Amino acid sequence: MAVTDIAAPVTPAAQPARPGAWQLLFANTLATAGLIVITLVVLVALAAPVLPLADPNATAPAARLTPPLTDGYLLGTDALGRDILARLVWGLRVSLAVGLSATAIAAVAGSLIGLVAGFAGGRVDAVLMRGVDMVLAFPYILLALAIVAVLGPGLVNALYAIAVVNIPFFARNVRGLALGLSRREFVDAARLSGQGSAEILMREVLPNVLPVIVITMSTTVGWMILETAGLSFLGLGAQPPQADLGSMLGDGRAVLFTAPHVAIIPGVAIFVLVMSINLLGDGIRDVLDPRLKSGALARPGARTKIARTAAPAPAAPGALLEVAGLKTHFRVGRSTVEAVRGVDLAVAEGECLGIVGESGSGKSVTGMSVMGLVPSPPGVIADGAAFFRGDDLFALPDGALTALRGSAVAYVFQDPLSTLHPQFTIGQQLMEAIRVHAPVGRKEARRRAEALLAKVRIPNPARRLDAYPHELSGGMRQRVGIAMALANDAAVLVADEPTTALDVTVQAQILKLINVLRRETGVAVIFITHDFGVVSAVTDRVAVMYAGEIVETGPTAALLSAPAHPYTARLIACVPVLGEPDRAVKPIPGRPPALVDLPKGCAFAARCERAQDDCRAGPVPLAGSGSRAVRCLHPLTAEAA
Amino acid sequence: MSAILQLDDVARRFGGGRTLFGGAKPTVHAVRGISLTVARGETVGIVGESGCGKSTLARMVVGLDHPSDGTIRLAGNADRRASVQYVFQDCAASLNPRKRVRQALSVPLTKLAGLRGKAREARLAELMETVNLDPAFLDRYPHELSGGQAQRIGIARALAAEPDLLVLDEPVSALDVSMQAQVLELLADLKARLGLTYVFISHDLSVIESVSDRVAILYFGKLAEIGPARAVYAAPQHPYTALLLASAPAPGRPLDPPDEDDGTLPDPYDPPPGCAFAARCPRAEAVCREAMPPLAAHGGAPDHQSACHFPISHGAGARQGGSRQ
Repeated sequence: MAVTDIAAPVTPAAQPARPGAWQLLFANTLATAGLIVITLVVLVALAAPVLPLADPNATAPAARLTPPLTDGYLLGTDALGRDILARLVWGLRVSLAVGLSATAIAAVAGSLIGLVAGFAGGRVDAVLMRGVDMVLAFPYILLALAIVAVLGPGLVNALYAIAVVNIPFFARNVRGLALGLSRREFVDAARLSGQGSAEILMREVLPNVLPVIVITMSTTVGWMILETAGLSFLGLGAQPPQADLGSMLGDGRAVLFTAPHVAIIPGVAIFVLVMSINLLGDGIRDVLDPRLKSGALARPGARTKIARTAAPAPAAPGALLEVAGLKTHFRVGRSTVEAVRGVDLAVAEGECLGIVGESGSGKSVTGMSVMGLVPSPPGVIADGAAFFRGDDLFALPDGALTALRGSAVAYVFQDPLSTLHPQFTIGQQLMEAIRVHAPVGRKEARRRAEALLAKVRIPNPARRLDAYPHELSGGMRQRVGIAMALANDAAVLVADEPTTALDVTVQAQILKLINVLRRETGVAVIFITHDFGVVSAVTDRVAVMYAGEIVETGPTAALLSAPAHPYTARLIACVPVLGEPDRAVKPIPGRPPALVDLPKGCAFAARCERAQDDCRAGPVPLAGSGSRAVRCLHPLTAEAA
Repeated sequence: MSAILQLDDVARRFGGGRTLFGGAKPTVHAVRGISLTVARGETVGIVGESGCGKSTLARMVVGLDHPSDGTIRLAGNADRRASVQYVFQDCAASLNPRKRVRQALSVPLTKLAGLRGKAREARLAELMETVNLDPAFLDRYPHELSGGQAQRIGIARALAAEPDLLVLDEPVSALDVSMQAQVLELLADLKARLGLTYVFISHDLSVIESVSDRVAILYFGKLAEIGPARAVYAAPQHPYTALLLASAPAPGRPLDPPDEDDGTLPDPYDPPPGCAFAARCPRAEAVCREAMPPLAAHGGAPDHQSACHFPISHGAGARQGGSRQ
């Protein structure tokens, strides 16, 4: 059964270039400085055997405590007359080697413990992690001292002690991540592909925790070098005559007041070394941490940035809310994503307008743009206006717009659990929403909140006021979401896929509720969805969006029964309809165009059977008579459909 | 037709047992005794709302979970890993974010089909052709795929070991409608070409109607109704099936669901002794709350069964699916 529509294999689109890890690291000045210093230090330490240095262990009693910058002794000598410069370079070598090896040992052992504990869970997890907790319960220097006391003093034993003390940091970080990853679907998928537990752990889970291991390593190396220095300072690490930074500091302590340079020089060296490692470590963390990379920590402004040249005049007098010529763009790096490319809409009191489209069609961005809720950066309103009762919302000052949010235009989102605060009861949240806009006391606010819950048909509203969001079912939460939107008698409700996450019986209840509220309160609804069945159940008029433009609009029943735009027709033909199991489902070939590089003609032309040369030549206007309009040069006529 | 999969009174409970100090841990009853036979070559649709146990059932069929009671048998005692495969709802999440498509598809080819080297490369190309994707996608990472492309890769991975039975858990629910149609068409095409058997799980009644030969309606871990798709949709016997069908929005049909307090399921920690739907049912009487109705044929056809004390009876004309066309 060859299918003509999908006979051509789906080919990949070109990928936009992203900045590499090195580019991101070099963009961070401090991290780059750290990298340069640490590279120099490592080079000097590695080159110690070939550098023209004095013997670091050769004593010269005659030249003891020579101050720095003396002829022959650039950094002076210590109490035994040994050359400090030579000792410093050789000491750096020892300190770096011990710090890095201890980090490596701690990383391997700790990560292994963490991976196994997180993946196995249950008893294994409990036993391993309680062991790790015991290590953490000792003051670390005390534990290190105890380990060295058992093993005997010496650099290698100090290294083990420091590694053991640092295992918990790796084990805990990795365990938390492995725990989450082990319950992810790709682990189930790997199991079904025939992989065993050890393979899954090493091949599927480990690559995903590696960034965290590297981050933990980069932030603990400096710490470990300090700890090595600490143990050597106490005489438990490097043994005389071997030089390391900690023991040099210890040597200087006795002559701190007569010859301060003996202690200060290794002290400064430790500072510079650890500081540069930490700066570099933080830089590496910033590059690798996906949360920092996504810019999630950057705070968006209070409203969408507006960069329009001139405001259009309202064209639909009498409309409650009108959107005219709206263009919303996302500026990412050097490219501009044209999410909304000139949308005109209007709703009257008590009317329900549906916006239908697939993901990426710009339907949600249109809804969010009205009240300036598109995050900036990267969102920018490049042109157009939104009029509420004739007032241009984009021209309002921030304060006035904020005051209108919720009282003029309110939003209902797909997942009310993510918009309700989990730590407050729904009563507290409703009362807060009421009191932000109306100067009423707590009692009156509570009374109004109860009335709102009754309005959205929540049984036993007085008791439900004291419930937390997680105590309510999905349908009840969405009712609360609608109650919240109605808290201040909003005139327009923008409902963005409000029933997509709900079960079908619950969805039917919510759709019915929206219809009842429209009749009772005269609220206008802009209903954003991808589902034609839902559109048919609640909307009076519908606008179909494709690639940021309205391609067709008209009364719902007429548009659904006789679509004029080929895209609308194909989209309707895509969806199985209840009660018509024999209707062939015909997919639309290809994919929507990328919004960064749009064709100059009709955006649907590449996927359209009816497309001709004039479709690709230039922009197609939205034209029509009466209540219907279509953006097509060769529309389907009623007879052809 | 021979049976490829047989479920016998399968139940799954989570939790239970004792805590460290001897207190009883609560038990969740996810699946409460389901018997079902899937014949070779058919598509069985499983419909149910969230929390009805449909995903738990699917995980037990593919071997990711094991029943607390009852048995799951496959035809000819075949190795379950090789003969039953699973297509995930969110295929992007079922691909390891740090591995290329090539690696994801190679694992089952090596582990289950025992292919190496050139033979494996050839089969990789063949798989990509089967799901209608350009071989260039083999070198992509999962985040570089669209939803529809990721779902095709998920299907390719499931097909790698040449299974007989595919368990499809909401395979199109996360996709845009135009992508959904492409994947549905691909699945129909694959079934015809490779002689597959599908267990198709979805909450979308119209999708289930268009793909299924038989439909099983699940409510609170038990079968509410099972039968040929046309018969169930045309003449639902269980009041829950009737409620589902009345609630599904369809173009050109007014929506008027009955008023309900809250469309939630009973407490899974403490299942009611009688019919789980009784609390929401307009036809419920005392016996419904006390005794569990058995699954039995109430209409003319023996293969159309429902678990209800007071099933909806339809006139002779309405029972035949053909009368609606």
